[in-house]
Amino acid sequence: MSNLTDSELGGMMQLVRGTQWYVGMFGDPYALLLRAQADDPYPHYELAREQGRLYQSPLGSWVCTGHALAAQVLADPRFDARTADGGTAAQHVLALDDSFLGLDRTAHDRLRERTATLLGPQAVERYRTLTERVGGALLDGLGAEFDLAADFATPLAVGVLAELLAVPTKDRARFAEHCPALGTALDAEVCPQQLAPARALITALRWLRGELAARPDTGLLDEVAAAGGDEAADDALAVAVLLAVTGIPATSSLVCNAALALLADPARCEEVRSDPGLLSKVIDETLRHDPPVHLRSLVAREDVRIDGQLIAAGSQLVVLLAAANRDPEVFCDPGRFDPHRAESAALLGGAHHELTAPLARLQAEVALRLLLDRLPRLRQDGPIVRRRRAPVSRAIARVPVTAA
Amino acid sequence: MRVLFTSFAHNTHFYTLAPLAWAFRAAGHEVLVASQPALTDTITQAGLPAVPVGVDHAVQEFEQRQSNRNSEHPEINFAETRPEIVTWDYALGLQSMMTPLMYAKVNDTMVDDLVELARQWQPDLVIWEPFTYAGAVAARVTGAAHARLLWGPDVQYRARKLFLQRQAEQPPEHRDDPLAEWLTWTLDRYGCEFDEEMVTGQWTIDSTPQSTRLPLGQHVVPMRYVPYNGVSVIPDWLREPPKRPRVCLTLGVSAREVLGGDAVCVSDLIEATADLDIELVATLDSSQRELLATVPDNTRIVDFVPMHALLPSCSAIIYHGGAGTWSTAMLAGVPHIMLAEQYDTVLKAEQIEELGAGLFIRPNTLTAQGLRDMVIRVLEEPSFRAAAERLRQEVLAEPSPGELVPVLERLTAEHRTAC
Repeated sequence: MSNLTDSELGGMMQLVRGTQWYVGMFGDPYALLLRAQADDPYPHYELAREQGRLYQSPLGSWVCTGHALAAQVLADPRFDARTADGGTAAQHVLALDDSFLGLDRTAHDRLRERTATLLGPQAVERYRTLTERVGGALLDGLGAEFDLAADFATPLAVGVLAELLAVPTKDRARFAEHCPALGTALDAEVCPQQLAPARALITALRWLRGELAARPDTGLLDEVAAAGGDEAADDALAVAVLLAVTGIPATSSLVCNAALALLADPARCEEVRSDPGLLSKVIDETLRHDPPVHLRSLVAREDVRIDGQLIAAGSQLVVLLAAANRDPEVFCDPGRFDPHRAESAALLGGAHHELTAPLARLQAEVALRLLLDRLPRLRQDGPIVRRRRAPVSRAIARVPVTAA
Repeated sequence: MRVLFTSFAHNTHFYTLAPLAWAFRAAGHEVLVASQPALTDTITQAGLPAVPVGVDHAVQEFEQRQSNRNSEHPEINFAETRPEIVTWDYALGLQSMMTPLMYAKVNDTMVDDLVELARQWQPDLVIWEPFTYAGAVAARVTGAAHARLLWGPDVQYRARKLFLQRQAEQPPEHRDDPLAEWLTWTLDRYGCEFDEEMVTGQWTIDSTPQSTRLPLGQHVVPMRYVPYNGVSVIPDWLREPPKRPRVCLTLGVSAREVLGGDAVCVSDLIEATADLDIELVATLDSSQRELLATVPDNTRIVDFVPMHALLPSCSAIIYHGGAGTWSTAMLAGVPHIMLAEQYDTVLKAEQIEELGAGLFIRPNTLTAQGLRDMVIRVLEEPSFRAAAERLRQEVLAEPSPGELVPVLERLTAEHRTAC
C-alpha cells in the first residue's frame, strides 16, 4: 500500500466508498453500517439480524449476527484472517501487512504461547503498579476540564506501552504522535478512509516497525525474543506492533465506554465505589454492551457449508460481534447495561483478540479505579463525537468531561 | 487567442460547446476541442478540430445501472433542495458516489494528457462542460483563464453549495469532502492546489433563459442558446407546413443510445393519441418501432429528425427533458409536456410548469389517458403557447455566441495568469 501514489490509493478507496454508499442506498444493513455515518450503529445491527443470523450482503460479504453461530465461526479454523496462501477477500479494502493484522490462527496460537508469562491474564498483574503510575501522572497534569479519550484514555494506553517497549525518552513524543494514527487500522481494512488518515496510518506503521527493529533494547520484545526458537525475533515484533495497532485503541475505547456507562448513572457509580469487586463486572458488561471491536472480518479458506449456507472459498465472512453480543436469544433485554447480568460472556473476536485483551482489561480496571477515587465529581461535559468511517472501532473522537 | 474546449466523451455534453467554439473560430481565434478518442468523429463532424486525449472512459456501466434502478434511487438527486431531505448524509452521499463513480471515471483517463496538451499549446482560455473538471485542472496548471459552460440549470453548483453549507455545520471531526479530495490529489500531481474555483470555474457561461437560471451568486455570463444536436439533414416532409397541429414525441437520443431503454412504454403513448386530430411525429429507433403493432394514421415515425428544424413547426412536444431538446424547445417557443425523472429534468419540468409553458408528469404515474388529456389541454389552452413564447423571447434576449466573444476576450485578459 505504501508504494501507491495518492491518486491510486485515494482513488481506490473512494471507489469502494462510493460503491458501499450506493449499495447502502437500497437498504442493505451491512453496507449502511460500513458507511458508518451514524452515531448509533445498533439499529443497523437489528436490521442485519432481521436478514437472518447469517446472510449475504449485495456487497458479497457474508454477515453473521447470531451469538451461537458467531462463536462457532470464530472457533472454526476454516475461517481465518487470510486464505491459506495469504490472500484477502475481494471486499478487503486495505491489506496492511505491515500491521500483522493478517496473521493466521496458527501464528496467533504461537504468539499467545510465547507471551503467556508476559501478557496472559495472570501475567499482566505485574503491570498494575506501572499502569497506576502512568495514569496517576496523567491525572496530575490535567485541569478540571479535559477530554476523556484524547487526554486520558489514549495517553494512558500509549504511555504504558511505551514503558513496556522501553521506548527511549527522546522518541516518546514521536511514539505518542504516531500511535493514534494506528487506531484506524481495523476500520481501514473494511471501510475506506479519507486519504490523509490512511497515509498517516501507513506512515505510522512504517515508523513503528523501523523504530522497533532499529533499537537494541526493546523491553518486552527482548523477553519474547529471548524465549528463542524459530521466528522468535519476528514474533516479538508482531507482538509489539499488535499491542500498538489493536491494543491501544481497544484499551482507550474500553476505558471511555466503561467510564461513560458509570458516569451516566450516579447510583451505579456509588455502587462500584462501595463494592470494588463490581468493577470487573462493569468491564465485562462494557465488553458486551459497547465492545472495543464491533466486527471481525474473516475469509473462508475452503468451501464451507454452515447453517445451511455454502460459503465459497475466498469469501468474506464478517462476524458482527456487537450484534451477536445483543442477541435476544442469549441476552435478556440486551440493550440494557447491567453489570449484574448472569448470562454467558461477550464474544471478543476470537484468537486474534486474545493476545491483547488481558492488558487492555487490566488498564481499564486501573483507569476506572483512578477516575472514581480521584475525581468523584467527574461528569460528561458536552456531546460525544464519534469518528466517522469507523465501523469496527466506533472510536471516540471527542468526549469532554469535567471534574469540577 | 487560443481557446481550448473540453468535454469528456459524451455526445450531448459536447454539443453545447460547439456553437461557442464556432464563434471563436469565426472571430479569428484558434480553437481546439479535446476529448477522449471515442468523441473524435463527433467533434470533427461538427466542423471543429479534435484532439484525442487519454483513453476512453467506461462510464456507461454505472449510468446503465442507475437508469435500470431509476425510480429506486431517490438519494441521487441533484435537484433536491428540501432541507429536511438534504441532510449532511444526503449531501455527502451525493458527493461520495458521484466523485468516484462518475467524475473520476470520466476525467481520470484524460486529465494527464489534457494537461500535457495545455502545456504544449498554452491556451489563453479553457472552456469546460460541467462534468469535465480536467479542463479546470489543465487551466490551473498552465495559468489559462477557465470557465464552465452549462447545459441546464446549475444544479451541480447548487448541490455543491448545499453540501458546503451542511459541511460547515458538522463538527470538524466529521468533515469529509470527496470532490475536494479527488481534485486535491489530482492537482497535486502537477504541483497545484485545490480551491473552489476548480468546481465553479472562474466564471460560468449560462445558456439557459433568465427565468430558469438558479440564483446562486456565482459569476454568470449569459449566452443565447444556439442549437446543435449533431449532424442534420432536413427531410422533404419538413419543408411543407403541417396541415394539422403537429406534436413531437421524442425520448431523446441520449436516453435511447446510452441509457439503455426508455423509462416509459412508447407504444402506449402513441396509441393514446391515435384518435386526435393532430400529426404526431415520433422519433423511434427500429427496436422501439418493433414494439408497435400498427402505426396510427395520424402518426409519422422517424428515426431521427433535427429538433431545431422540427420544433418551430410544432404545437407541442412530449419528451423526457434532455438538455438539448429542452433548450431547443424553449428557443422554438413550443409548449412542453415533460415525462421527467432523471438528473436535472424534474427541476426543469417543474420550472416549465410553474412558468405556464407546459405540463410535467413523472413517467411512473403516467397513464395513456392522462397523456391524451395533457395533449388536448396544451393544444386548446392558449396560455401555454403564450408562456412558451415569453421563454423564447428570453432566450433571444441574451447575447449570441458571436456577441459573447469580445466579452470572453476581456474576461480572459482579466483572469489568465500565464504570461
